[in-house]
Amino acid sequence: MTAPIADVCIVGSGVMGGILAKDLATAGLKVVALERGPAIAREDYAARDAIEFTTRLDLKDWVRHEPITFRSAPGQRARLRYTTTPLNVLGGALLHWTGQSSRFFPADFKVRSDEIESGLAERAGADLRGYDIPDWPISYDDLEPYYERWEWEFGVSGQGGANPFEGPRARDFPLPPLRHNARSERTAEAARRLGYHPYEASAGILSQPYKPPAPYDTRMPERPACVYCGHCNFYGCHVHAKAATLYTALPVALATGNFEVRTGCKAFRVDTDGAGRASGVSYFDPEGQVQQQRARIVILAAFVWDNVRLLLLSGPDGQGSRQGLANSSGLVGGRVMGHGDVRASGYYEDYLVNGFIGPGSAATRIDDFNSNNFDHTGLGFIRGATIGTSGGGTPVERTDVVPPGIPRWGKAYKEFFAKAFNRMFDLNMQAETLPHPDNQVDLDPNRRDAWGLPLPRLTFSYHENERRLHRFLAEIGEGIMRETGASIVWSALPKGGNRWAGGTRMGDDPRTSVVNGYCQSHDVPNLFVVGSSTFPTMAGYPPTATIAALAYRTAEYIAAHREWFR
Amino acid sequence: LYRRGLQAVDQLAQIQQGAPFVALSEAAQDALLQALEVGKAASVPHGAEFFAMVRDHVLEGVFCEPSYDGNRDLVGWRIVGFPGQRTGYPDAYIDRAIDLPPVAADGGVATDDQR
Repeated sequence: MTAPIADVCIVGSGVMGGILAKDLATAGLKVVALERGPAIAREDYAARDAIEFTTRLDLKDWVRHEPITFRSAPGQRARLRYTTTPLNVLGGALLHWTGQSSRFFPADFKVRSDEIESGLAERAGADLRGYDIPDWPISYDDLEPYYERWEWEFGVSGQGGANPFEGPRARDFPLPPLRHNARSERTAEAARRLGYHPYEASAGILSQPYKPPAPYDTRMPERPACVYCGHCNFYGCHVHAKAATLYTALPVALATGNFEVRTGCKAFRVDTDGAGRASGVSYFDPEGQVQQQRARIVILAAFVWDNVRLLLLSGPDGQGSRQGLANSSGLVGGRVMGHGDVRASGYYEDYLVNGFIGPGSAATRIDDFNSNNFDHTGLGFIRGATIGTSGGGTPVERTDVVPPGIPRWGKAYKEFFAKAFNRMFDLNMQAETLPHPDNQVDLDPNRRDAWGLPLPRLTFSYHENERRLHRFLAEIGEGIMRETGASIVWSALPKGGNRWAGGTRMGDDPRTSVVNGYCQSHDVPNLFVVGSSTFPTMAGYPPTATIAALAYRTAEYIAAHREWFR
Repeated sequence: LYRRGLQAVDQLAQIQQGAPFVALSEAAQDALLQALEVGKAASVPHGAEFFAMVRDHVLEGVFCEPSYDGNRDLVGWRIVGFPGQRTGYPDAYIDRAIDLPPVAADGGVATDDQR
């Protein structure tokens, strides 16, 4: 039996897949999505159990992502590693995200022209040897209307203008900021005394009951306000106050009658026809049988290394640096970036933090040291990081946060932790990592997954610009924590990377990029690759709002040009 | 892992101190564990990894939901002042003690009207 040809086949059902499915199915296109994880219901994630969702990720097979392999430099042997950033489930990682929703700054889209070609990097004394830093092919202004769609359709709480550095916005947020918690109020006061500009962070969590008004998508369901249970990061939201496609965009897409999502289906190849165009996607069904979904348009909307792996496993059986599909640039898998999370922590003798109350994204944020918001002259680096309060969570998640000099076990540890658990919090600084040719994803030559496919192999380390930035941020963070009145202040430099981007970078020039500004492959015009894998540079901010904005923009582009793909 | 690891720790205690681990003084126990933690107890295979695993398991046992048979009578949460993995909080409790006793999850499904 031959399945009918779909207009669009999407790999992945997370934030990108959900938005694309909704808008393309609404435009009348027949859409099929392939999701490798299972379909789940509220009772599967309502339990708020720290063992199940944070320390023992092997208790639910959809919580622990398939493994990758990791090494810090080319030439090393990569070791098996499990990461928790993606999620193996219908609706994807948006089910367990923290909710941090920030637009990138206008300057984040033009690092090359504004900060390198302008001479700023030289005045900073930055050492950018070895890096490969392009501008984005699109600007903040291009994305602004789509940021607005994300904020109003999914309900982002915040206050326009509260962050004095933010780019111009046509409309304010639909909802006021979430209620402050103890650590964020104390940090805001300290930051103001230091002359910084703290504000209440915007978050993809409803501060009030909400249903999108016209002209936004009024089919999106009404959802209740946050109950401040504090189980956001790594958890599903038991009241559905947190934005997730599982209970918003996906049901709306299904109700059109033009959308089908197949769970438990693992895509392993983008198929091509004789003319080099994408003709569909081959996948393993839940029984492990090979199936094919033919389609006029193929969209890869999986996680960074899954998008890369699919391209490398597809196309002519090539070897060497230009293997795979859509890879005439040789850049598929190249220039991968992860934030370096610098942490500054404080311990207070006589102050109760109650950090387990309320969302982690209901933070005080400081962007005085992010992007190009500050004078870098003589600092030795370019770019920066957002600085935000963090460090909530249950006791079992906090057992490793111990200042230097305090043992990590035994009587002294017990006495310290019993007092300190509710007297500590952190500043999390998401330091931008610049694109470097050594940092990449390719196919591991030695290890395969349960389907017999080579594992994605991540090669990643920090280079000189990041190392200098991390040291600078640790000092800034410790200064803020001291000003909050902490009696013990300490910091930790990043290990390993967070919030991944790059691997299928966008650009105008097919020789130096994989997709164009609409996330469309230069080589294969009916193939789209969406998500943070398209970011040429990653900014010092969480990627989710920008991922969503790009998905809206790509959906609009495909719907407007559907006749190209007949 | 536990059987082999504990056996090796006991053997080390016998060799170094002439007594099984449990019979050692607190200070001698701590000294042995310190060596184990940093991988300096060469006779214990993968000693540092074994120590890290046992530490993680102990802390999980102390702080888990009691349905896992640890954290008995919520003692782990009581000593650190954690009120349990609750469905929500009626107050921001900014900079003040929480006047709620710790509770275990009831195992049921939270719904919107439980707020």
